[in-house]
Amino acid sequence: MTQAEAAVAVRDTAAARPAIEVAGLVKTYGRDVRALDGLSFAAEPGKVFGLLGPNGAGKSTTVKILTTLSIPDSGTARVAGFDVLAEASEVRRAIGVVAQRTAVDQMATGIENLAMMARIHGLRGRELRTRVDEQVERFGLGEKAKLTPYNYSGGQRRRLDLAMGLVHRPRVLFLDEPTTGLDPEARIGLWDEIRTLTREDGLTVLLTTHYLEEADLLANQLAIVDRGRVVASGTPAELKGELRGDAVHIGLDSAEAAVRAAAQLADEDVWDVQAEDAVVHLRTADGARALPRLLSTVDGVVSATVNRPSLDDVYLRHTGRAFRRGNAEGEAS
Amino acid sequence: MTLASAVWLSSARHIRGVVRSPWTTIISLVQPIVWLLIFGSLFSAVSRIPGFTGGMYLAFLTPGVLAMTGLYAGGWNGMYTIIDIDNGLLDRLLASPMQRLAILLGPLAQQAVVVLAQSILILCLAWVKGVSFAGGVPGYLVMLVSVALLSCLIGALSNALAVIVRKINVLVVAVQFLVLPLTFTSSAYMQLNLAPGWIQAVSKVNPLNWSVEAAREALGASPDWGQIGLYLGMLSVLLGFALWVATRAFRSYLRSQ
Repeated sequence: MTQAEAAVAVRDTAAARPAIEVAGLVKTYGRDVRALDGLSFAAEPGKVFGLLGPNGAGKSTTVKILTTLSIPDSGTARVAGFDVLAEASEVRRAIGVVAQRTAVDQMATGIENLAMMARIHGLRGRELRTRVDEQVERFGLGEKAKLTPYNYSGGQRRRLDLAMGLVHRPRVLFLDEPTTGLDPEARIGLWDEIRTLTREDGLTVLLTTHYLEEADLLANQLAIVDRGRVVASGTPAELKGELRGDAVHIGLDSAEAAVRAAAQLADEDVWDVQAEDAVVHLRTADGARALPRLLSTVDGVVSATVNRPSLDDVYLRHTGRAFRRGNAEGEAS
Repeated sequence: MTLASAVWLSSARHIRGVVRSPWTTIISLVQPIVWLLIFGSLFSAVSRIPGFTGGMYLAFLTPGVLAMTGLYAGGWNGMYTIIDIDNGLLDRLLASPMQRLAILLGPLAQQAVVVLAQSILILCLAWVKGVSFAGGVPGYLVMLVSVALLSCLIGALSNALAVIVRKINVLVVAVQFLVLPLTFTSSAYMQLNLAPGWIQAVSKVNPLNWSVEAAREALGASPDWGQIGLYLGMLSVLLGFALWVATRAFRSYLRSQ
């Protein structure tokens, strides 16, 4: 290898280096709660990386560690090339954070909120004012920017929050469940905004969500998190593509009936059969055609659906639980 | 961002918050005036107790009310940090390049400004009521410094408690628990040679008493500057310790997240 080639190789490695690298993160609370249990993933620069998982899966804990707000028990994490423990100050300079709950100063106007974050990141004078004005316009705050957030709607407050996370042009943006609590219209607006961020600003975005649809639509790469570990990762299309055939869900009149039905159906030309409460999940080739035969083999059928495998089925395949159920468990704990 | 400009930014934000909630500001300014008027007339007979050498009771009481005002203001200061925790702003700032010390000093600076305004108002009122202090300007300055030190040291501890318990009701109980015992084991209302021996003993380790004694000494006709320096020095050392405790508490906040 010539010297020039070596230099190119070095540069290429640097360019391809993940914007976020997480290896073997463990975090426990108290003696019993193991929020993260060896979580690992890597996010490419300039893409939206989705962490999908039910409530309580460990997504927010991961974001807290990556944004230097929490200290892991073990494992390593690098953001924008900096170690979150040893180089926390460098990490803080490189990131923007939009937390799960809107975090704005209620006693300051929108403009003052934006100016504060800009100043913290070292912007001054005219540059600061231009940048703040840009954010006001981009996030459609208009005249409201001159008022305190008490006068805002929920969606406007969230947009100010997002603008505060972006005003200093961060290299990596953390969005922790950004659309939770937003009305459908505001949610779609935010989705457009997030797409623009990676496309026009070249930003790396780490997005956590418990909405399958949101992960499917926004994430270029996805890691499915369950009980503090990554159980599957890839692009949404890859993840769904791993599941051959159609997903069939058969509702029965009792949990016992579901267990019985699962045993009977196992003899048919189907795979990944799982009984959960009063539902049997399975996959089979050409589900629409197979359905009448499948239904005639079992007793106590109440309902049946056939669809192309969704991320819900991917989650089910890897965790043995339907996504909705995982969410309910997370809320209970 | 330099530490100085970060401290300024953080302080300005908290002061702005107070200025924009006029009712809390007005009430906090009126409160010590009410104390001075009520306690001043209720306990005015104290000055006739044999052995009392403080002169006019209202003059004796003024540094006491000021110290109590500083104590209360400091005690409640952690509330602003709890508000910042609840609305997520503390996390936002902790994940930003703003220095931790600046985040901690912001609410304390705000409180120092409020306490200073309260003190000046009380001094004006005392003057209207015919109180005059022999110590003059140096006396007033020592009084303001001693109140500021006391309220900041209590404020730092209040913020430490705030980031550990993160609940306003716990903070309220803690402040209520501390304020009256600290006040009445000091010479705020009563000359200590008229108090039982055990209270005199407790007052020696009571920072509220250091603050009152320093102010009263400096306001007198012939101040003992060595004694004043000792009190202010002890208050400063304790303030340093309180700030250290508060930074430790912030670190434990991160660990528990």
